[in-house]
Amino acid sequence: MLQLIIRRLLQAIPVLFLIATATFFLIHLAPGGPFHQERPLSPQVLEALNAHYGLNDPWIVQYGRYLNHLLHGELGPSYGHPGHTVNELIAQSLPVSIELGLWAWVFSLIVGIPLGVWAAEKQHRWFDRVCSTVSTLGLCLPTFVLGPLLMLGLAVGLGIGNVCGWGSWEDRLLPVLTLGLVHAAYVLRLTRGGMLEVLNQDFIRTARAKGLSGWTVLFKHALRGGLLSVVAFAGPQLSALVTGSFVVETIFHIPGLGRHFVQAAFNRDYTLILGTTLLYGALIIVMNLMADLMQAWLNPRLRVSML
Amino acid sequence: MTHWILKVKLKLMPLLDVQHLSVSFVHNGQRKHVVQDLSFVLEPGETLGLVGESGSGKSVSCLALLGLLPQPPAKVEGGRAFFEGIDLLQVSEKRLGKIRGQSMGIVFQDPSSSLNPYLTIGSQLAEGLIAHTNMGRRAARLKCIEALEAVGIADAGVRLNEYPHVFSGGMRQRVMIAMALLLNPQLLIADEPTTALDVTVQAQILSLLKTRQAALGTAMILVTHDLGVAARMCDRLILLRQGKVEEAGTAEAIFYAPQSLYAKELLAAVPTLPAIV
Repeated sequence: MLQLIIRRLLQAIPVLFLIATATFFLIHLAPGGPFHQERPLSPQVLEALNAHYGLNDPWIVQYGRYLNHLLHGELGPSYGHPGHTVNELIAQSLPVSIELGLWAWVFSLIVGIPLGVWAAEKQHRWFDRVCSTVSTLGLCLPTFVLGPLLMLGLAVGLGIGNVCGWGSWEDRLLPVLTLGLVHAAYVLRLTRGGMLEVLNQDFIRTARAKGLSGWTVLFKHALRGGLLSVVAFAGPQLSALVTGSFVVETIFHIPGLGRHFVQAAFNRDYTLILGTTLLYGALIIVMNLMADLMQAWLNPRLRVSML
Repeated sequence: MTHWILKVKLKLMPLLDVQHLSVSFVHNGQRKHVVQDLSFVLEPGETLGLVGESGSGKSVSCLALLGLLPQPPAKVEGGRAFFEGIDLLQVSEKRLGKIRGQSMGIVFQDPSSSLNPYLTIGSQLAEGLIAHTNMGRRAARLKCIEALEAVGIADAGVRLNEYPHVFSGGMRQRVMIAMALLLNPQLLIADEPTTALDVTVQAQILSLLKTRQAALGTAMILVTHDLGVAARMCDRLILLRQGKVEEAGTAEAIFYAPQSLYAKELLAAVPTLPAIV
């Protein structure tokens, strides 16, 4: 078990190295540079800025310098936010995104799993039909539609929650709902599908033949197997959620990490792109490991093959 | 006084009295009759064989008695099935669950899929005991060890903590038999218990079923399409074909003096070794 964790974390090093390399050269291949703007800077200023940040050096030299910084835990200065390092920018915005993402994640699981289990238990009955229809709707609604709809309905219509900002819990309500509802729809469908598959297995018939109550059959015998796909989904999903959603953060004016992803790419803010991408990569690796451990805990057959 | 009368009545009554059982399935919008007008009586300790080709309604009849048919698509069209005086087809789901767990044991066809892969053998064995008796966990564990040893599983105390995937097919079927007989049921339903097993293991499992049945005095309904198995195990046979009873009687009568054309054809179809010497 400990061996597995250590091995997987060691495997993460070359993966992150590859991510850094690929991102570095891809973003440098893109035309333009961090200081190319609509209103061009005078050639002298541009030259001075490039010289200051060492952007005139050959790529391979810049690449070596970046890797050296990286080894010391430095993600470098941000080109788009003069006077700030990428470390600072991430330290400021990541906690906000983590909070938003974590709430949305917890919400999606708390809502999605019980509804999915119950929908599977009541397959083809009205409850299942309602759940399936609503969750399909939830999947089809992009967050940039759902967000404004919730603003109109809840904040403007009923006076629940605020439409922008990130201070009180009322500010958090709508963005968490927006992000959480869409993911709850995913979780619901995965849970329902997983449970239906397990409920049709022979061993469920055996459990019922033993005269166990419906609840025992559902929760002791079916839930473990039914949740395997949800766990596989929810792990990586958490890393996507805590690194921020550009759309939701933009709609609700939340100072999270998501906007940096997009803006950095537009601004050719090389170091910020690299920093956020590496962070996302590292989180995905960690969450996948957690999901695998959780699956092994649920499924004894996996334990053997993993170790 | 009434109590005494009841006891005498119970003694005189057969263990299971099935009358005119009919089951249908809806398939592609069409209703198909899978079991039609099946009637039989089972006395305590007796072994009844339900024999027939695939799709003749053997398993469906058993599942209908147990209330384990998925309804829909299945539907019990009619009939009665008195088990110790209670109609299994009319009784509430909750009551039936209790009867099923306590007084009936079931061994299914495929032992590789009928044990829960996510739970230890021990917890799957003990849960029925704990649900239907007021036995504590420790006592239940001891009883489970005893039951596993009785079906020939060595080192039972250790094996209780293991998961089904480390057991071989024959071992799993032994576990299923131990599980089915754990509460000393009056009736054991064995639905093709050896079909998914090796021929050598088949023989072991059949003799195990027979010895455990004799030791506990359990009546058995054995579903099989294997005439050899039926001949070896059963006192009486019911020959089913397309959901209808083709012939019923003692095993001897059907094997040595078949009355229906179908029974004659079926017996003639059993492959025999040509005489070499």
